[in-house]
Formats: sequence, C-alpha cells, structure tokens
Amino acid sequence: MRNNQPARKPRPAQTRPPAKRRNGCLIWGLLGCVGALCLGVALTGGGWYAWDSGMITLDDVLSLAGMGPADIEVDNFRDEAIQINILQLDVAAEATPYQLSLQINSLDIQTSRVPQAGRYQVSFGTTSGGAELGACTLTLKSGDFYQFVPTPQLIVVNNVNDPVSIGSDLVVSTSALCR
Amino acid sequence: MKRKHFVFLIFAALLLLTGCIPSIVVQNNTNIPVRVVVFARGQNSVVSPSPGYSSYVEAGEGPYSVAVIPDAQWRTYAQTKRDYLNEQLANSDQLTGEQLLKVIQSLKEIAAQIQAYQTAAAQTGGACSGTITQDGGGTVTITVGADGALIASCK
Repeated sequence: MRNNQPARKPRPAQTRPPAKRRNGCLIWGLLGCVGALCLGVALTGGGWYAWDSGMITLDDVLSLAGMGPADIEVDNFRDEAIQINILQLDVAAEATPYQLSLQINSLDIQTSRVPQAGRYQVSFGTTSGGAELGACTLTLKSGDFYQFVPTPQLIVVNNVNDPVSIGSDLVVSTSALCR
Repeated sequence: MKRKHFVFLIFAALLLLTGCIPSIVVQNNTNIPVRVVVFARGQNSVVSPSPGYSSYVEAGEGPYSVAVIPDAQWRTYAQTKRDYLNEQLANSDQLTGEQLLKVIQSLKEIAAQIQAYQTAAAQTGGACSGTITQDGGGTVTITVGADGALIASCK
C-alpha cells in the first residue's frame, strides 16, 4: 500500500467558451461607419462654409501643403521714392518667372505677396529696373515674412518670423540671408 | 503627364491668380498731402497719394481697414527710426547680443506704431473698413470734413 505518492489535483471541469456575440460586432461596426460618415459630412460642410465666407482662403490651403505664399514688406525710410523689383529665379524652362515692380514713395510702406516659395531677387534702385541701392537673393519658404528698410546709408533686412542672431545679417550688403 | 508639365500647369494657375489679385485704390480728394495706412491680409501698408491723385495697395480677398494718420507725426517717427537704425547698424558686425535684440525689437515696433495710429484715427472718424470680394478691389476716398478733420470713406 503506497501512502507517499503526492495527491493528484483534480482536473478542472472543462467548460465550453461562451458563444461569440456576432450581432454586437456588427452593431459596433455599423455605428463606426455612421459616425465616420457624419464626421465627414460635418467636416465637408464646415469646410465649405469657411471657404465660402472667406475664413479659409486659397493661400491658407496652399500653405498647409508648403506651397503657400510669402510676404515681402519694404519700409522706404529714404528721402526719395525708390523702385523695387522682385524677380523669381530658378524657373522651369517653359514657365514665366514671377516678376513685380513697385515704386514706393519716401516714408511709405508697401507689402507684396509672392505667390510661391522659391528663390527671388529683390532689387532696390532709384529708377525702374535699377539695383544701384542694393539687391538681395532670397530663398523664400511658404509663410515667410521679410521686412526690408532702405535708409540713406544702408538697407536693413529682417526675417520677421525667424530673426537673425548675427548683426551683419541685418544689413543686405553683408547678410547671409541675401546669398 | 510629365512632372515638369504638371509643375508648369500649377505655376501657371498660380500666376493667373496672382495677376487677378485685386488692389485697394486710395484717392486723395483734398488739397494737402495725406498719409494713409491700409491693413489687409494681416499686413500694413502706408501710402501717401498726392492731392488729387491715387495710390494703390495690393490686397487679396477679405476684409481691410484704412486709417488716415498725421503726416507730420509719421515723418518724425520714421526719420527718428531710420537715424536709430543707421547708428546701430553702422558697425553691424560688432553688435552685442543685447544690441541686436534691441534693433530687432525696434523693427517690430514699426508695425506697433502703425497700429497705434490706426486706433487713434478710428476715434476721430479718420478710419473706415471694407471687404474685397471676387468681384473686385476696394476704393478709399480721403476728404476734409466741415471741422477740418480728415475723413476716410471705404467702398
């Protein structure tokens, strides 16, 4: 008679797993689809209203894709009118480069919106097409805002959204922003 | 379609839109020089149409506001600002960090000063506002009121 064998643990009663409630998954799936559809309709309707009312413009949409415009402000603090010329560089062979010419009276300020990111030459002169006061080759990104302040002695350049950290970069003739 | 052709089409569309950007005409119907601030697309412009003449400001669709600012005050402010910039940037490569920050702040203050003039003009009738739609730009007319104050009218 053997009394030193360890007692065996009784086997747990085997039970079948609960039946899957397939109807519940179907309901949740339908609810999810309906919810997504409602969200899509709401976003589309809201977006259309915003577009139609002018809250969202084409520039805003292009900016989201990194293809939006950039702004160039010129504060003419000289004692005479100046001419500025903005010319797009690095244009595809078949394309026409963007070009804008402006006359800005003494102590006037003009802001121009360049439609697309890229490289542009901004020239400052006293006659149309002239650049005897200075020139700056800018690399513009979507949303950039550059401020130029021509004075009798120099032309200040300021990247308003990302100011420089070196003094010489504030003057067009020595600025790394203008190369 | 080749990629370069696609890029060309996109850019041509952008150029077309650019060419159609409306402008705001500021007409000076007085016999004195005036200085007018136009706020549109989040940016300021300052123009000075001669008596009987007009100046143009590039603007896009949306709201704009205009204010007539005192020419003498603006001249004094602008000339003082440029003297400061010339002095500080005469040796720009020797600017200390603190001096550089002051110069940058000084450049930002130009917009703040313009905003102050606009606020003051709104209280004296020398301001107006309008909206540019797809149908065209805006027209601003500067006249002199019975009391001699400059009045801005927007259409």
